[in-house]
Amino acid sequence: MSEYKGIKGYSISGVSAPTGIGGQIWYNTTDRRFQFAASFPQGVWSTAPNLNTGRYYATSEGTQTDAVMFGGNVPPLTAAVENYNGTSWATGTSLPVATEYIQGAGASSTSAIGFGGADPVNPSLNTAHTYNGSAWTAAPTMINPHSQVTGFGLENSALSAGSNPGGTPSTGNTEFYNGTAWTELNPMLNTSVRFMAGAGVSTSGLVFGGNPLGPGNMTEVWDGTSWTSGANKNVPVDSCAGAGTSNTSALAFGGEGPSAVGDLQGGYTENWNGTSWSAGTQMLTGRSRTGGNGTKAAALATGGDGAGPVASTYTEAYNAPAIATKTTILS
Amino acid sequence: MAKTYQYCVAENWGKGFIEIGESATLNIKGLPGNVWRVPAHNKNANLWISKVLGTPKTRDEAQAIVDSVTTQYQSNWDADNVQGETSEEKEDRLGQRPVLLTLEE
Repeated sequence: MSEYKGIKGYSISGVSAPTGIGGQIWYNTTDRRFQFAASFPQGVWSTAPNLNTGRYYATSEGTQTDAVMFGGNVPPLTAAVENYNGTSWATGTSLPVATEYIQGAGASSTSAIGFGGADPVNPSLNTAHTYNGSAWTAAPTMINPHSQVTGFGLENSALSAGSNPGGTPSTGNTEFYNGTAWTELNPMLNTSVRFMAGAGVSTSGLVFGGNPLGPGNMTEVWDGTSWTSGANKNVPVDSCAGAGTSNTSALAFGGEGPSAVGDLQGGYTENWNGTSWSAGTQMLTGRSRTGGNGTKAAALATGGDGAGPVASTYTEAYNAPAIATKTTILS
Repeated sequence: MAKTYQYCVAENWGKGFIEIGESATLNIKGLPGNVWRVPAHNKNANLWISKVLGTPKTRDEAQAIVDSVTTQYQSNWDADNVQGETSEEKEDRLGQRPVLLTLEE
């Protein structure tokens, strides 16, 4: 019988548990079997539990397994809230007012804030509310009304960027919420981009995509004090979503590309490493105006719409890199 | 010419409908009308279609379904107007007018 060491010059390690490192092979001393970890070079999307209420122009906050989604447009505008525990979506306490274009920040289904947006009467709101998993509490109002903005960060450390206060053209306004009050900070470099996505925390984040008069590919990087230009996305998209934890680690997905690409809702996914964007695996079902939350390696895309628009209940989970342990029958 | 893709119609029930491993190896794409595109001549793709109780469709049948749904979306988009709304505001509200997709053989 030939020996692996005799062929390759080195032996296979015997371990009692999988290494979890893609591409490795080992002998599992517990199972007494050879195993290897299959590594997929790209992260991939898989289907996750469907929402109870399909909608677009909502927002979702939290992680891939602990999230909250609120507001949006069915149509009509909705105040619906859903809490996600990694297994299913459950109806949460409704927003005080049906709101679309609402944005937010938060770490989980029990710690989030929603701000701005548009209700059936007002095209641009300055209201903000925090959510603890079961109730909404009014937070201090923003300095300016905001609609079609992007938000990122945490419940008590949230950033709002972009917007068109009062329904007038955008100003690139930036506001920071510290748990007590909103403060106006340095504005964005681009002053006319709406429907961007954002990711990160209030001291390290970025915004990207959007609509500067058609699908956009701009990126701006936030260091806690000011904005700088980042490398453009590869595919310009309007109303994409984002996930990520800092200005060096983010994922952009979904959105509506230019008509020239043919497939408007191509489910475009791109990875941000702090310097540039690289193409990722496309979503299973192309959608725009989705909610997005989580991290670059474990993101969640919630609702949105395909062509139409037709509000979608679909939720997809992104995992990167995907590694699966396989057991061989060699032994 | 050998087929690259095959199509089926199936209802996405959410978690478990497309697992990570299936997504990584099968390049599954969802299309309007609950049409799904997967590789042709692929045992795992065939197993996935069976798992989701998919109804197999020829490329032309799938194209007809996608066209029918998209045409309806276009009609809905054309008819959805708000008095005084500019074309830009309409695209903000509804997105761009849906476009027809050509499915690959």
